[in-house]
Amino acid sequence: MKRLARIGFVLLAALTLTAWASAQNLVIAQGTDAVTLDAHDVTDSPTASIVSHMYETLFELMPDGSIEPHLAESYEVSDDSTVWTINLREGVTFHDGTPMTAEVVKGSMDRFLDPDNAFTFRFLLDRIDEVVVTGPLQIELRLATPFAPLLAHLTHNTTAIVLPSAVEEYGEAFGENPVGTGPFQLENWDRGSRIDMVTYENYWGDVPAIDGVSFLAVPENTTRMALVESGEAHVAVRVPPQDIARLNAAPDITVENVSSLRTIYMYFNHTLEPFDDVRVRQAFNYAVDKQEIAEFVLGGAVRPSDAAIAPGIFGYTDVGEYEYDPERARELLAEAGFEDGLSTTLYSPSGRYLQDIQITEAIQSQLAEVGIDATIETLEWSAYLDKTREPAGENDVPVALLGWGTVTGDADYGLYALFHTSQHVPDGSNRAFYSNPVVDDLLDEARVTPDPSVRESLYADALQIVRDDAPWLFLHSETQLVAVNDAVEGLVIHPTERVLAWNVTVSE
Amino acid sequence: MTDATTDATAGAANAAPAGKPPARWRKRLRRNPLAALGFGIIGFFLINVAFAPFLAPYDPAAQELRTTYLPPGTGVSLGGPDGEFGLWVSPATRSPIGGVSVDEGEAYPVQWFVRGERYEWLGGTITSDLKLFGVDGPVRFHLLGTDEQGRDVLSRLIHGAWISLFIGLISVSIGVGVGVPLGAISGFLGGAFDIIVQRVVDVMLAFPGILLAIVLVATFGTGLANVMIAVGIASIPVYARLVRGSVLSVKSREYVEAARAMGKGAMPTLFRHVVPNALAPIIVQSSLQMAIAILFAAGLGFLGLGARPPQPEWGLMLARGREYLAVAPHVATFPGLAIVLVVLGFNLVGDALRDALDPRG
Amino acid sequence: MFQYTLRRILIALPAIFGVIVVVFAMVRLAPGDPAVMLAGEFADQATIERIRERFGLDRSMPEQFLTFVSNLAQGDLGRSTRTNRLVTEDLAQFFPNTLELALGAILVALAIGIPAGMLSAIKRNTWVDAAVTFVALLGVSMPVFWFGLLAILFFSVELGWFPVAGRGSFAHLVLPAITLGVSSTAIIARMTRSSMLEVLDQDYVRTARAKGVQARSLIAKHALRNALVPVVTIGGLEFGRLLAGAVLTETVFTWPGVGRLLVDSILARDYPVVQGAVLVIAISFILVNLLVDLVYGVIDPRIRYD
Repeated sequence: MKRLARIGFVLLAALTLTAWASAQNLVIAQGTDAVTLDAHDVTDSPTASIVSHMYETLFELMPDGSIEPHLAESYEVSDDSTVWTINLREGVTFHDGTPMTAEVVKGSMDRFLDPDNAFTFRFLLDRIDEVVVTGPLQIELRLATPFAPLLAHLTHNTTAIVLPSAVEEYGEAFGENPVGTGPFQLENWDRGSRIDMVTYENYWGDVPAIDGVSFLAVPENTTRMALVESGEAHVAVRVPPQDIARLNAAPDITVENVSSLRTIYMYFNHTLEPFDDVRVRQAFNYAVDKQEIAEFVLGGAVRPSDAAIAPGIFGYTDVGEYEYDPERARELLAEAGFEDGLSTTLYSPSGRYLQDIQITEAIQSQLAEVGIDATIETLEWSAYLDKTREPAGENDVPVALLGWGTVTGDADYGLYALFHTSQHVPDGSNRAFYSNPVVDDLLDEARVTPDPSVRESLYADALQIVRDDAPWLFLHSETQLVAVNDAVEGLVIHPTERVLAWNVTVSE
Repeated sequence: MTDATTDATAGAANAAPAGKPPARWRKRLRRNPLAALGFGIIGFFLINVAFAPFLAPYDPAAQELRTTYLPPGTGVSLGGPDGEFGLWVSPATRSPIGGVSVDEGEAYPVQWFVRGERYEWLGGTITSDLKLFGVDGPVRFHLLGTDEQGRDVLSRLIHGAWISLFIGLISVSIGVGVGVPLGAISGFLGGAFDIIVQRVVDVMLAFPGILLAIVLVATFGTGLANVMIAVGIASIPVYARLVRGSVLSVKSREYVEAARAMGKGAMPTLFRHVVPNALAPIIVQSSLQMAIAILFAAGLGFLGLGARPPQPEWGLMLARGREYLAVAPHVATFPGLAIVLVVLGFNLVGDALRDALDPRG
Repeated sequence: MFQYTLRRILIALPAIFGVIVVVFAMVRLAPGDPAVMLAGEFADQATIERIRERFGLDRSMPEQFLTFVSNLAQGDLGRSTRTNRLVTEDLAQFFPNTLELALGAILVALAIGIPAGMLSAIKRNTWVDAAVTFVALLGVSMPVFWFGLLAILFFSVELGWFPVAGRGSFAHLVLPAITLGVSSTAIIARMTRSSMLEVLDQDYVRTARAKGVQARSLIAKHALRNALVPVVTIGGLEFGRLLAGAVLTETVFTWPGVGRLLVDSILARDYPVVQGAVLVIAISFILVNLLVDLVYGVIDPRIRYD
């Protein structure tokens, strides 16, 4: 059978090589199709991967966490930190030949900021009062108050520069007719199935070595992995942990393991008993063996959390893991008056995050060992989001699994919306109804402090308090498992969960 | 997924009371080997439901993350260390990245009637720890392997049997309970009521196959209870059409007219004289509907709209198992086989009943 | 005939309208808010409000319904709340794919089902008949997604004969068409069998047989033609069912069809697309049934429409 399979692979590879690879086209299989190709309107990472090949941002978050100018050439910040002057790169053109000017950039940013457009990520830049053109290739961003994370926010893929005249021309259909400055341009979009892009020959930077890149939409894990095994795709994202060993054993495939900026946790609803008691929350943290889950449920592919945000994010500090200690958990429960145990419900999505329901089931069985009787409730994603963001008083979800990707690479985005008192749902995303005035002050101050080292220590303090208050059951930060054919060189698997083929070469 | 076998009218609809049909039917059924097979499968299925805690070697929810994805019969050898007869099991563990390792130095015999975990049976009236088979020792015997949480697949299948039975029974009850009276009254009374009912049925039938169930589940929200209701509702129009047809065909028969002429009310006449005549196709349809309901529920589970983890519902087990198809094909294969078997059982019986009850044969 | 067609269409109209109302109301009654869904884990209340406004979700249900119906009358199904694409464009892209798959499946079903059914009828009450019956029932008892997954695992991954997923060449169509066609094959086989048996029992066939007409030519000349009339009907009905029943097959094989579009839209609470997809499936199902009736009249002249 195995030999037969091998022969089959060779035959199939030969067939597909003539069809795809001969044109040096990189084929990437993702779980879903692009939702839209309007860069401002993107909300999910598979779409962000695709759109990042056609559009570019002013600044670029490098995989190592540093920030480099990209469409911008340089920038200056005024002494009071409220005016940001940005000098734009010269010689950048859009796919239709239009040169990028300060006017164009202003037009793009104004569109992103227009409340009527209701872009989900508008809040990233909503501190900007006004975008002013001060030269043919210079703009000023004027803010009412200092906002330290701005630079990080300008690296987010939704803030990419689109061509305003194309937006006008295509109107509502702009999402299918992208015009950006990126190294690839859209050739064909077979909805629900595949997107083909070809290299943009007049790209301002290094023109890609490959002729094009295609993204296939393959929701079934088994099928997606089979595509890369059979050679029909060069790259497949979201490798299920249990497939790592098998794929690595294949002669021409390597599973890349790149950490992501996404943290997975279960939050406790502080408005509900017994989770208003810090001892109970800590008991949960001690009762769960994060190492075992990381190793056996996730194939060793994740990193147990030692802070509320992942390493690689500006502001991260190791504030210490909750070591697995069921004895300590039982003691804390007894102190809190639950020596006979307690029962609760764990809410979990199914299929949203890597092995989410499997993690919840493992937690359920580990909690049982310290006398916590937990039942599991799963809802489909839309109902789940809805139910977990009901206001205090109506919200009856006690414990729920969620993930948060700090895609700006700056702790503000990862902490403010989740732990600040002003951000209780439904106003923000603080679903735990966590509230600590000290943390609030630290987060507020870090927002307006320009000095990075001061900010870093503010966040370190905040992270330490959050760790001790245990508003979450800290689990792990995710890892991106991507199966890559060994013929591919130069693929970037970005911590923001994007796969970038800008500098790829494919050997024969 | 299919609602194809819904066509129970294919002959039985016109069944009229004549002679001693039950005897004739029984004789015909007995001659049909496929019917015997079908009844056998259903019987086996019911035994599983009834004696689940005794038959299942382990707790279906007991997890062991260090023995996940064990292939069927891992660590099992024929014959003991000193050449003894019988099945012997050695401890097996899985390392996260590598594979399964079996410690063949230790071996324990698989025995009939062993003591295992305590369980309650028949609503707590019986408490026991007797299991049909198992290993008396510090190892576990996974006849059908383990799943992604290290749970015993066989135990989950056995404990999940009642869920499938329930899905079938509840959905059929809803279909019969609403569809039969609706169809009967509609056919018997005629007029505006009939027209309205038929138009509603038209709308429901315009959602072919599993589509109606999908739309209903999306509306009610996912979950097992809603799946049962949705699949039940989706079967209402089939019953309504079926019963209306047979009611129309017997409505004008003499004994019905006679009953009406004797001053009996419409409803008593309907349910005493008319509906019983539609019984044969209803029975046939219900057997087929059991099959359809189980398949639909599995399909909804597959789409992420059905039962919720960690329930050992077969469709959900299959849907979960498909994620591991490449590394551990047994996790999806056995629930799939279980579904096929039970659905086949009901289809065989339904098919045989249809032949047996066919008045033309 | 024309009058009959017209009447059937008129009868179908209320059903279609009912479908519209039902779908419109149901997707909105479903728990889960499309605006929250679009905004994701990140959203604050203000963003959600703006999104709600952008897609008109803040208006009352009757108001939304009136807009929907009046737009529908102009052939406008609105725009997807998820992708902002015209729903009509989405459907124009996805529906032909489903049609292709359903056509492939019905061809498989007819090509295998009719001969199997005939064989079964001719060898009535032998082990051949029992075997065909058993296999046919096994076919309808198989969860299609399970069959599809096993087929991928064996024929694509293990043997490498067919592509794993997607749409494009003829090779892409083979496995999905067979998978989707399994249950229809079984049904058509069963139907062919019973219809053949009925014809074989009829007087003229018996007479012909008594006259010494060879069994084979008898079956070819008389029985088959008459027996196929109900088979055509069931084939047509099956085709209609396949159009809608392709959801699961499409999911397994990543076939960009209207069924998958529907399920994705339901999960995303993308109301306009759900409405459009259900409408298209329901209408095509009703049309196929109508067509079957008309064809039935053409091949069986005993049926009269008046």
